[in-house]
Order: sequence, then C-alpha cells, then structure tokens
Amino acid sequence: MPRDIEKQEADLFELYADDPDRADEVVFGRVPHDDRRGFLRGAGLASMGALLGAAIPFHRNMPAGFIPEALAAEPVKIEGKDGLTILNDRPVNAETPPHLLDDAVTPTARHFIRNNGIPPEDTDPKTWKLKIDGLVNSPMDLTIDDLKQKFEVVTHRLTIECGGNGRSFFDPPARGNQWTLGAVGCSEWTGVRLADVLKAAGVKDNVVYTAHVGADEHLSGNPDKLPISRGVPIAKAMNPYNLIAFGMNGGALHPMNGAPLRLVVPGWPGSCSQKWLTRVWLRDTVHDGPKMTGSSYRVPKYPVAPGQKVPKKDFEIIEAMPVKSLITSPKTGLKTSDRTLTVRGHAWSGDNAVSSVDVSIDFGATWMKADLAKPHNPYAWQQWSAEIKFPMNGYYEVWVRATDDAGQSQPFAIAWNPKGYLNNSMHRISVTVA
Amino acid sequence: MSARKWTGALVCAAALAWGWLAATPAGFTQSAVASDETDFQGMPPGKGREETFYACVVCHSMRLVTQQGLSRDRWDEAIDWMVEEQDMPELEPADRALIVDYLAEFYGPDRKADTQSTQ
Ligand code: HEC
Repeated sequence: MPRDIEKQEADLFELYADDPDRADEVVFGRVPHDDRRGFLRGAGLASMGALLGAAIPFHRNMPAGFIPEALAAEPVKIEGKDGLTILNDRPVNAETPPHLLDDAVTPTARHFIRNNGIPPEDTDPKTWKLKIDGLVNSPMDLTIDDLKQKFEVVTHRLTIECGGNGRSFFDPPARGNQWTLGAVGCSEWTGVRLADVLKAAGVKDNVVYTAHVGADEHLSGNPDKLPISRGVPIAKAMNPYNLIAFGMNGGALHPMNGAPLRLVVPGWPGSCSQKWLTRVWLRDTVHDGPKMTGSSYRVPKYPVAPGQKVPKKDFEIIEAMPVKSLITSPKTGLKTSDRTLTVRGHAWSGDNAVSSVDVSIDFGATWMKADLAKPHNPYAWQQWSAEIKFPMNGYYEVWVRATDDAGQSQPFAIAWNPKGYLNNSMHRISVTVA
Repeated sequence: MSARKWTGALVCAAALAWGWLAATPAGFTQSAVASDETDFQGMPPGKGREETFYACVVCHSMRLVTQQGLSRDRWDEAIDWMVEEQDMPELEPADRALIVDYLAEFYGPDRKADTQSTQ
C-alpha cells in the first residue's frame, strides 16, 4: 500500500481516537440517539451503509464513535502493550507469545488481556467506589483511598491464567477465543487483602459464595446487562493471597487489565479476578451471574470423548487451575550449531506449588530433572532451567512437564471438554542442531 | 466493483466538505476502494456472507467469529446462546438458516476459510 494512502487511513483512526462522535458526524453525517447508539433521524445511516456496500440491519444498535469493521481492518495497536498477539479487537483479547514471557515478573506491557465487554470510560481512581454488601453485618462503600487507609497494603507476585488458555489446540475445536499458550502472566500486584475487607464488613454465617461486579458494559450496549459476574466459594475468598488490587508492577493497573481497581484471585480461572471492580456481594447460594451458569467456565463432571455432547446438568464449575509449565527461552524454531543449550521457563499449579520439572528431548522417552526455584510467594509462578546436551545434529523437540506437591503432573494429550478449558498439556518447542 | 468506487467518492466528498483531508483527497478515495480487500474482515465470499457480517458485527468484531471452527450444530447452539444470553435479536428463520449455512461452510472444524479468506 503506497505511503500516502496509509497516511490517510491513519488520519481516519486519529480522528476517531480524538473525538469519535465528531468523527461519525464528519465522515458519515451521523448523529446518534441519546444512548449513543443508532442514527438519529437516520442521519448518516445511508452514507455509512453506502460506504459499506450494504444496508445495516441492526443500525439502531450500532454504537456511536464506532469505526465500521470494513474500515477498521488496520492492525490494532494497544497502547502500553508490546508484542501481544491480538485475537480479537472488540472486545479486546490478546495473548503473549511464550518467548516474551521470559521475565520472572511479567511486565505490564506483556500481561495478556481478556475482556468480555466494553471497558468503562471513567476510570478516575479518586472517585472510584467499591461496594461490599449482601450477607455482611455492615455494608461498606469504599474509595481507593479508604482501602489504602483502613487496610494493610501488600504486594505479591500472583499468577493469573485464563480458563481457556490453550483452547486453540482442541480437536474438534471448542467455541471461544482461540488462545494458544500465552493467556497467562505473573505480575506483581499491590492492593489490600480481600479477606481483610470482608472481615471488616463482617461475613455472616450463612454465606456460601461471593459475587463480583465490574464497571464494564455488555457488548449489546444494554446498560442493565452485565458482561460477566463471577464469584468463588467463601473459603477461597478468605485466602490471604486474594487482593483487591490498585497497583501493578509498581505502577497503575493497565486500563485493559482493569484500572483503577480489580480483584486478583490467583490460581483460579482469570474470570474470578473481576476487572474494573465496583462491588463484592456475599450470597447464601452459589452465584448465578453471567458466565457462572450453562457451560461457561465449567467442565463435564466425568471424562468425555472428543466432540461428545454433554447435557448442561452434567457440568461443574472450574475451581483451581491445573499444574502447567512454559518454555520461555529459547523461542520455538531455534536453529543452532551448539550442541549445548540452556532452556528455561516457569511452572505453576492452581492452589498448589510445583515440586519438580522435567524435560525431554526424545519425545518423552527419557526425562531429565530441571533446576527449580521455590516460589517467591505462594501463587507466584516458579522459574526452572535445564542444560541440555544434544547427542548429534538433527531435529529435536524439547518438552517440559511439571509435577505439583499433590502429585499431579501434565498430560501429553488434551482432556477434551466442550468449551475448551483447562488445557495443561505439555509445552513443546522445536530445535534444529546443524 | 463499481459500487465501491462510488462509495469511495462519497467519503471523499464528506471529507472535503469539512475541509478535512484537504491535502490528498484522492488518496482516501483509493483507500476506500482498497477496502475491497479487507471488507468483511477476510470472510470469504459466499451465500450469506453479508447477512452474517451485519448480524454479528453490531456487538463484536468478526474476529471472534472467524477464529472458530464449529460444526453446523455447534454454530446453531452458538446463535442460541447469543439470543438467549447475550441480547441478540431473534433472526428471521430464513436469515438464520443462511447464516448458519455460511458459518458451517467456511468456519467448520476444517476451518476452510483459512485457505480462502481474502486477507
Ligand atoms: C447482541 C450482541 C451480540 C450479537 C448480535 C452477536 N453476539 Fe456473539 N457474542 C456476544 C457476547 C456478549 C459474547 C461474549 C464475548 C466475550 O465474553 O468475549 C459473544 C461471543 C461470541 C462467540 C464466542 C463464544 C464464546 O463462547 O465465547 C462467538 C463464536 C460468537 N459470539 C458468534 C456470533 C455470531 C456468529 C453472531 C452473528 C450471527 C454473533 N455472535 C452476534 C454478543 C453478541
């Protein structure tokens, strides 16, 4: 594409970025309804439709300041993120290639993004409010300053992994974002303990489950609909490593990682760690918010054949994430003349610690022990490394397998399930020695 | 496609009217025409493509759709989920059949679109 055309397209994007409503008006003569959707009196509808080469049947739903997809096919860049693979731009879902996850503490720019809805526009930490209510003795409304003043502020390295990480390897394919390996990260999170805040509010005896609410908007634009609201059993909620976090790696949270306030519930599917957190309410029943029910973040209670249909009643909620490991160096596809190679990466396991890591260069026939560091704190992923000696030139795969302190280890094959969760099969990279 | 050329001119006119992009309006005309290639986010041409695009893109990018590889049954379930859980308006039965057929054809378990996409 000649450069001047690129430039013009950039202008269109800048205009939308600066002032989307004006951009709509300028480009399409469009004025939205009061709810910032649709086209007031049809203004702009004809020209946008014409531009797209077709009518827009659901134009009433079309959000204001929305670049039609036909024009928005430019590669998307997310400010403050670096090297992520973008699976989806609306809502934003992006993962980190394994070789960019090499740091023990995942830099903010490399932490994956899993959005279910449209992030809130107003994220001013000064006016942000968190409500603690439901079955508590004294409901609370807290600002971020209140949290900092009333409760001990702590910093931990905490592993967050999306329940669907690895879904793309399912056969037959499972519905959802096609994550490969990088919907996981371990950043340093600063905040107050969820348990301290709940204790201050006074947890009633009959509480069974938490319910988390964030400020992001449902994709349909319906203001009464939550994109996602999940929770955890009260026993898990009281674990001292769950944070109500306002800091990430010594700075603010990235806007796409939930700024200014989020939960971090490490070791369980990332969806338990509600972003843009506005409310935690305590319930006397298992929470039934969006993405708690049906087959969302659930797996069959029994092993199933690949592709098998499973009745809704046979699904159960995913709790801890399984043991897993990643090779973060070298990058897969390495060509080297050196017969000695250091490989390294991280290993983690839900609520447990990893007790050993093994590597194989002969498709799993023999294994050697890797050096494994203790976790910096519970729920931090652990660093491992191994020095490999290749016996001759040729094509190799390096496989890695972690085992946790409950004796669970990683499978070679995927335990298929309908929605593509919990793929903790071994990570492999290829190395050619020539 | 001549319709696209015309729409390119239309945007160009809108831009000129506001004194925006005054430098090289011709560049923009071409880029709108060039969007021919990127239209429908790489969805291969086929019966039901436009219906599918406009039914889905109001809520999310087509990338959420084109990542998938689902059987016809599973696509049908996906649309049920969109309607029952996500506030998608019920589709006319004829449109729904067209859309499910299109999705199953190009975004089935063999991900045929990967070899046919326009991107
Ligand atoms: C009214 C809004 C709306 C419309 C219209 C809509 N969707 Fe969705 N769709 C959603 C929401 C909300 C999600 C969940 C997004 C998330 O969590 O990332 C979703 C997710 C999906 C997913 C991923 C499924 C999963 O389990 O995560 C697929 C596939 C999908 N939509 C396909 C379609 C197709 C095909 C159409 C058009 C025929 C369509 N959608 C139209 C709202 C909509």
